Amino acid sequence: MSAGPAPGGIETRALACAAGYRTLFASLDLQVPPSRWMMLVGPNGSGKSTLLRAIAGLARPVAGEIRWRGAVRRADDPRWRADCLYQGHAAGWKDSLDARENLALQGALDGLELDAREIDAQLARVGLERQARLPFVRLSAGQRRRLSLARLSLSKRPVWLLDEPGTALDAAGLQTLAALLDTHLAGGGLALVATHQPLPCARQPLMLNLGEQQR
Amino acid sequence: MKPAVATGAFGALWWACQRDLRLAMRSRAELAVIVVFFLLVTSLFPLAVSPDPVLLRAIAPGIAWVAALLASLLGLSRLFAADHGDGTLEQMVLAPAPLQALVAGKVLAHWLATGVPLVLLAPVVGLQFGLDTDAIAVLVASLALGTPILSWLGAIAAALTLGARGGSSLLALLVLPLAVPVLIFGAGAVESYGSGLGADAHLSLLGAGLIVVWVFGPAATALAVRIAHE
Repeated sequence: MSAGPAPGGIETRALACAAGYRTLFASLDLQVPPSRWMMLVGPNGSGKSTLLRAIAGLARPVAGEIRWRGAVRRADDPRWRADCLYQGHAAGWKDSLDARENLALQGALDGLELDAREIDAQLARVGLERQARLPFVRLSAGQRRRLSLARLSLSKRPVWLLDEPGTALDAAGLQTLAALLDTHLAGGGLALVATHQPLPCARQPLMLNLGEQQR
Repeated sequence: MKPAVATGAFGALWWACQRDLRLAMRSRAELAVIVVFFLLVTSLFPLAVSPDPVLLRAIAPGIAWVAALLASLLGLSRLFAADHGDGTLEQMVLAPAPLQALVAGKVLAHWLATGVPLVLLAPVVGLQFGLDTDAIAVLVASLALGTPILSWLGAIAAALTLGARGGSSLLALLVLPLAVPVLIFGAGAVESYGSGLGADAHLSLLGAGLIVVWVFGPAATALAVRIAHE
């Protein structure tokens, strides 16, 4: 515990990922200690999403290892899955359910005991109280994103992997996202965020430009 | 209704089953299509073959089983593809709950929503073809044991064809050969009962098949779902 670089965060060593036969990035070493967040930038197709998926355990890296709290994390370890929250391009909401049902179901899958009052409070926090009973298919893209914010706000998991969380959000939505991220970091959590727009966060991010990593 | 918290194998199974039943209730039209298809196919045979009651009684179990098999194919392609498309399957793969239990819950819900209605309608089909009460009971028993096997075979194939182009037609090609034994023993149960041999052997084999798919199905399906995400 005492020797070496501070353990506890997310670390990758010589990580390489590919899309088909094309190498997206190779020998990637990154480190995100607790209470910090890393902003992943880079042109489209530079591997931001793949990196997040690889860390979450959805994509298999070609080489290298991913470490969490000082030990190699196994993708199928239930403890890792209970520590990590991944939110991808498709946010994971069913169109035929309403916002309240969607959040309750996802919360239950995340292993949270939620009562109706808590869910309503979260929906109000992200500005969806008037849409709580509407089928999801009637909501706008930004409103769908806001439900993902409600999920973040309920989460007690220390690792957040967010793929373009700010897409389609208005200024107020971005503020809510930044506030959630700040609370998360203040509580000792860490985050990797792939984003094209800067987030109005109080804490400065570590930067990683995957476009420069190529070749 | 409050969803079950998906912790542990049974919690996860119950969560997925409840969720999929609720989603199925939101798209009742899709379920109705399956039931109507089953009844229509069985009703077409007397028109096409011949109205001879003796002949119809002899081919009734086969017709009911072929119709059930084709009807069960109808809803299969949506089983995982819908969740794959909107990202909810991804969240299930990443959930701390065992994926085997989650897919088992989905398959159970699929059977309850699409298989059970066919089992319940089988007596109507039996009456239509003039089967006697005992033969109808055997037909219902064979469908009750056989349709969950079809659901599991379909689930494995649906998970394997996730993300493949033309997935749903490929799905039918994959499932139909695997479903042949189920069809033989299912329809055979009623025929052998009618010929005085008794249906016990056929029904036992179907029961054994049911146990096998419940033992190996969850792991195989979960593996296929995981591969689809890599």
